[in-house]
Amino acid sequence: MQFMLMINEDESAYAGEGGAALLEATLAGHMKLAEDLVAAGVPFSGERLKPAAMATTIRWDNGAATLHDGPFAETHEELGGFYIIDVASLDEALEWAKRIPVPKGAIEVRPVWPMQG
Amino acid sequence: MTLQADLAQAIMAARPRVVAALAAQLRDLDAAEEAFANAAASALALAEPPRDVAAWLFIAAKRRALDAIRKARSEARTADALGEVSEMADILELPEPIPDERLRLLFICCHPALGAEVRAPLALKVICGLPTPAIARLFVVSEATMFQRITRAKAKVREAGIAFELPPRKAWPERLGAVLLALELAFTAAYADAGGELSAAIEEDLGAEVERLALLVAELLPQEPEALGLAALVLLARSRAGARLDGEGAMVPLSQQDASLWDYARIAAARGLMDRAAALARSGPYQVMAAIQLTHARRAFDSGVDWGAVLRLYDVLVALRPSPMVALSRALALAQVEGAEAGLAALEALPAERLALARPYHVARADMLARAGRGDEAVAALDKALALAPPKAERLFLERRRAALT
Repeated sequence: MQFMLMINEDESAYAGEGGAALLEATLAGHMKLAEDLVAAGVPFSGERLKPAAMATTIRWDNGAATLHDGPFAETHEELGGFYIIDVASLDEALEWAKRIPVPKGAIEVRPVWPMQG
Repeated sequence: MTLQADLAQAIMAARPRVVAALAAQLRDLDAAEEAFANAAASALALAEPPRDVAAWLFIAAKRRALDAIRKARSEARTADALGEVSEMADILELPEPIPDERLRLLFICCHPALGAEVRAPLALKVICGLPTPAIARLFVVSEATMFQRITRAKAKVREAGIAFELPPRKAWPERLGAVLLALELAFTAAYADAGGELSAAIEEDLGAEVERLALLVAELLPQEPEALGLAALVLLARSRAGARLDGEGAMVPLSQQDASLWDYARIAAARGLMDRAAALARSGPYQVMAAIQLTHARRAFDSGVDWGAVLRLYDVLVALRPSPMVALSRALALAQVEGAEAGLAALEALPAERLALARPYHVARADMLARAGRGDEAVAALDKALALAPPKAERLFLERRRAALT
């Protein structure tokens, strides 16, 4: 079954002194993870997202849409990227999720609602 | 009537194995429970009880489950669904004897992806068949809350991809910890019901249910010393069930219990489990807790409790699993070894604000203050304990102590 691994991290970790090096190390970790997924034969996809400050949010209220500059919720940790992997169980998904490099933040693992044929 | 009662007992005893086998095949806890309940009702309606109750229940429940799936699918009426039905029929045509899936079920109910507060309730519900109202009383939440928690947990097991497989060996330390913690929570809650008020109110012997689950865990995990230690701890606690209340229904503290009322078969069984645990040479907090309880039980054979040994074991426990309650128990042992003043000094070092609502803290202080000759302060400490709504058996005991001091 498919799981989405959502990477919620503190973007500010990559700013300031040492930030660039940390980002480089994290990206290298992602490259390694992708190689490992390929080697293990796990079907997957994933993307890195631009910073939350680049987000635009459409909020619906009684049929009226208003646009907001920024993410839908202001938190310390933002959705920075995601993977979708296809594995047999939650345990397997959690094993892969633990291997995602996150200097500071959290990974949320959720089953994808399967499409009915 | 007796026959019927025997059959009801046989059904309860067969439940863990049958429900586990059903759940492993149906991959749905609700469907397994429902199929079992239906089969149990049919068994009780039989003119003559089946010879092999477990096998009968398993076969009857499989048929029920299959019928239910057929019905659901025929309502859907798609070629795909019909394919699934025949596939399911194949799965359900498994050979006897009943496959033993109890360990898998236990690991599912105690999966770390489920909230810690729901694992023990789920295990008691699904494996032991304890009704939700009883579980709600045990964990002191409303029936509606407990029903919601269990329903949500079952839905997560079904929808979130929690595998009906045994976790790989390397994942055991984490997973086993979750199983034992769930069991400990159930045990602590059941043991707090000294007077049996709770069990009487819900017409279920909660202590017996938790003991059954603890022995099952020890049986399924014979190479895990902590599982054996926890089962020993439960047995030792249960061995005193007949001595915990006096004729007036007041609680009798362990040190004053009539040892001739203890259940020596349980104490011997606990010793056996602890010997096996010790042979595995991996100590842990549950084994230490069981050792402390066994040291207390030894006074039935020796002249008194070896408080020095109890204190040394608490020193180990404080190192393995520090908590204010463990430190409190250690202070009580210290008071026995070095005197009430030393015990009071140890209590002073505890976080008083965190323990303000813990009855055992005030009861322990009262005990030490009384022994140190500070009667007025002891009465004040007892009043604090009494203000914290103790169960009836404990209230009677505390009131008696208070009367003796004034």
